[in-house]
Amino acid sequence: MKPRRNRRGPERSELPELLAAILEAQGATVERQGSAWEAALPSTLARDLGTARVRILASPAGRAARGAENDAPLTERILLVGRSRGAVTRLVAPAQTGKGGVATTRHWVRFHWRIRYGIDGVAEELLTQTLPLGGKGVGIRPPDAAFREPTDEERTRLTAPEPEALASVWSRALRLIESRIRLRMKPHEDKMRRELHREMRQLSIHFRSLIAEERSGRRRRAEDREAGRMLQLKEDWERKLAAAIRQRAHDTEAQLVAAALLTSVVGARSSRARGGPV
Amino acid sequence: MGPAVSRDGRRGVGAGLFRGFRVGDRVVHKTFGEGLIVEVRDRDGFEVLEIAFPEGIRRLTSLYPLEPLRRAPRSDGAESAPTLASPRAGSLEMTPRAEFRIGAGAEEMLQRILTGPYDPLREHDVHLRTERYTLHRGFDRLLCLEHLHDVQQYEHQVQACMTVLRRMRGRSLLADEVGLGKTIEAGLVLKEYLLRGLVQRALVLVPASLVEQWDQELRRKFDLEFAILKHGTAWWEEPLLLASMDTAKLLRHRDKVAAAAFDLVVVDEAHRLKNQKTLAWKFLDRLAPRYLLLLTATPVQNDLHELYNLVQLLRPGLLGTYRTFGREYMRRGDRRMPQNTARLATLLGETMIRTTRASTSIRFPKREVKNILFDLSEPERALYDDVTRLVRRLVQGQKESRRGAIKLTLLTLQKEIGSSTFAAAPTLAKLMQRDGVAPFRPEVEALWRMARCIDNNAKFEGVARIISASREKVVIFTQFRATLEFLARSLRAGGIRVATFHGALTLREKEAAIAQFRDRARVLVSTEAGGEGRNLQFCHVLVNYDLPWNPMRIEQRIGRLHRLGQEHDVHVFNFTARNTVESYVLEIVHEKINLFRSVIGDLDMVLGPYAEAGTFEDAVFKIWAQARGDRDLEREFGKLGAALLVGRKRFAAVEELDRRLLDGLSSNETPS
Repeated sequence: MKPRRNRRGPERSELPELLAAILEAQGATVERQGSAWEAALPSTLARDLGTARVRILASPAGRAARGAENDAPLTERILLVGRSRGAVTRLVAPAQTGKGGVATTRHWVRFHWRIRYGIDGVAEELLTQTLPLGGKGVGIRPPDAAFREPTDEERTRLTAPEPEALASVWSRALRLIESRIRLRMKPHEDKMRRELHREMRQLSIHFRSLIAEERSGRRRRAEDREAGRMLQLKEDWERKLAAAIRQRAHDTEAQLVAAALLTSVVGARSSRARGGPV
Repeated sequence: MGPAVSRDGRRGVGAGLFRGFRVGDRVVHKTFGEGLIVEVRDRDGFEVLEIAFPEGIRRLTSLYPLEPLRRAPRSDGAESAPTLASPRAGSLEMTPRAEFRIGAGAEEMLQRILTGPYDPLREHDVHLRTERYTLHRGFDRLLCLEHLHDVQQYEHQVQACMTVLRRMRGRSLLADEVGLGKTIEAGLVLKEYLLRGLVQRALVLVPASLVEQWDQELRRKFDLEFAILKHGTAWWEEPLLLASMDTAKLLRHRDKVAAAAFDLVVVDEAHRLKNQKTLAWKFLDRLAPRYLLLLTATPVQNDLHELYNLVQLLRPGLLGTYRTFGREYMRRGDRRMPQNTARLATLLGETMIRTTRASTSIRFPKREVKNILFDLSEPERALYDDVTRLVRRLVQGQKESRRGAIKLTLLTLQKEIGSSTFAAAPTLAKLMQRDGVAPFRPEVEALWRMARCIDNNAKFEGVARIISASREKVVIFTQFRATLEFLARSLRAGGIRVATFHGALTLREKEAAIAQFRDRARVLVSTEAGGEGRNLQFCHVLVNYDLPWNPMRIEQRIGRLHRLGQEHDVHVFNFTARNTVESYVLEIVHEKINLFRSVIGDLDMVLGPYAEAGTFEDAVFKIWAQARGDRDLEREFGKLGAALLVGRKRFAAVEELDRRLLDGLSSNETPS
């Protein structure tokens, strides 16, 4: 048996590489010299960051990501530039068809959400949703690797999605997030309920003794008096539970951080003729 | 957008398919009649109701045909007081179970999907990478502390963990003094990285003799299931791997270990990496993990360059080149003494953490040892001597090449007879069946009969006296199940509450045995099997009913009581019969290694060539079985003791050197 290959994927970039990529994407001229990156910033970026040149250093062995933490505030500012606005992009892929099907133009929307649950025990996460635009028969979505930026010619041919279709996709996306949040939060809410139930169990025992008392014929008291008291306690309990849940739930936020409109294009040459995705 | 977010920007989750029963509602059941709901519990898709009916409280689901009962207003126009299903009583609107808010800017992005402008793909990717990067939470709070079992946390351990995570970024030399819990610190760091998803694959490299102990600790305290590197298994598929350094660096393993790309590597007793020309150092250098923890109490043994070599693994270049380090930081003519200590301390502070006992407020309990030498009863003495004679004849009579087959049985027999006559009897019975001892069969049978005739042991009487002399809880260790059962039987007969703990118990039974001992029993009789890592700090009296021939095993026994968290001095009673193997072993470990009085950090270093599993036992057995008389025994055990004494002195010298050297150089402070 062969040993497994290095599992470190491209996503596991180190901080220095990431900082360099942010600057480059913002128009800086970046040069790499071994484990150092030299970036000459454009005027807007220079104004934001307060310097015209940035030097980013990896650790001597390049093992631990140290980045520009020689100047930690600068690192923070560069990261902020990378996060400063949600990106919306448009990508295309050659249209694919099923067996015997006809290739047609199809749209999908990909949403990237950042979900902050507001509970210490549940970490923030980045959630990706890809949903078809349009009702039935949405066709086969090309693999992620097949999507690329459209050429100028393709750009002119691309049609905009229907607002109604996007609206229905949007509500579906929200429903899916609901399920996701419910799934994540359920154990924590259950735990909270359990704690409250435990607390109330003693009261329940008390209720039962009252009921037994009532049934045993001591009917001199006003009708439903014990039951009324019991109900009051139960109400308190439910109110407490509701308040606790509300308090936790207030902090849960889904932030749409990026989106992409994916389109499969029927070109002059089909994907098969070109031998696969571009 | 049409169906976007609800009025207040929040969406409710979990409307549920419930019938909406509430506590206090009155219902009618076709069999039980009218009832009052006293409890409502949500299950998946329905409710479980507790309803008070006239003949008692019943638990039903809302799937039953239940009719809500509404009361009619009284004839005088007032509502019956209080109406249980009235708005006042039932007005509680249960808040949806989970809610979320959509962050600002979503509408704008949706508009841009429709009409543009669109960002270039590169910018989109960078944005996502940045988002992903910023998901990592800061290390201002340790997540792992809530996930530990049976770990008493100490401030210096948490501080060290924070320093490793925050300041040293997961590459650190943990050089705490012996007994301060380096293993716990490494476990904390490991668990924290795993919880945060920063480490998916981890490798722990330890000396062979400590593999089992680490496995137990990681499993029990940190809830981490490590696979152990074994030939013939697909160990490289395992995300968490525990291995001895010697096994991992073998030619047939080392490429696979390197290819497995571990994110975090922990090396215990890391002073074995002091020389960069060794295979172990090169092997670790090749692994190049993202995070690396080196654990040793004695990073310098002979030469400051050893420290340089360790730091070179963690932060290459931090101390300059090999030559410049020597020139700048080592005193000329004395390889052990530093110069430019302030600067060296600053540099080492970037990667080394050293906590000393003096710097903590922890009270370290003493070990009070009492060796109880006694004489065997006449029949026991006769049996012991006859068994010894038989063992010697069998060993000396066999050719070297054929000795191995029977040696293990004879070694076990000799140990058993040192423990109790009850332990030896089954082995004598088995020995009778073996072909190799056919000429001695009548003799073995006679010994077996003799062993079966003895129904009490002189040693037990001494133990019983100690137990009855005080009211403290006592742990009695033995190596053999038969002895354990004899002890438990005899103590119970004396009216003492006894819990037993041995390897054949299931995990649950073991927990129950410890709980029984903690809560009710006075005495725990235990074999060593599976007991490592179990918390027995609530007891501080230990009886070694028999003595293992391996100092590591003795240390593990004492370590179960004498550890961080023990508040009393630990009393150790060693029961040894005169003129037995155990009396010689006791002399060596007590007089030469001084094992019972102090914690020895690295027993491996003291034991030297005898550190490998079984080698010390073999050496003891060889001396015992091949001796022609008492003079032989004195001489050979004397040599063995002298070898260990050298090891002990060497270790003490190294410890002292490190104390002098490093205490001035280190700090364990977390920057604000």
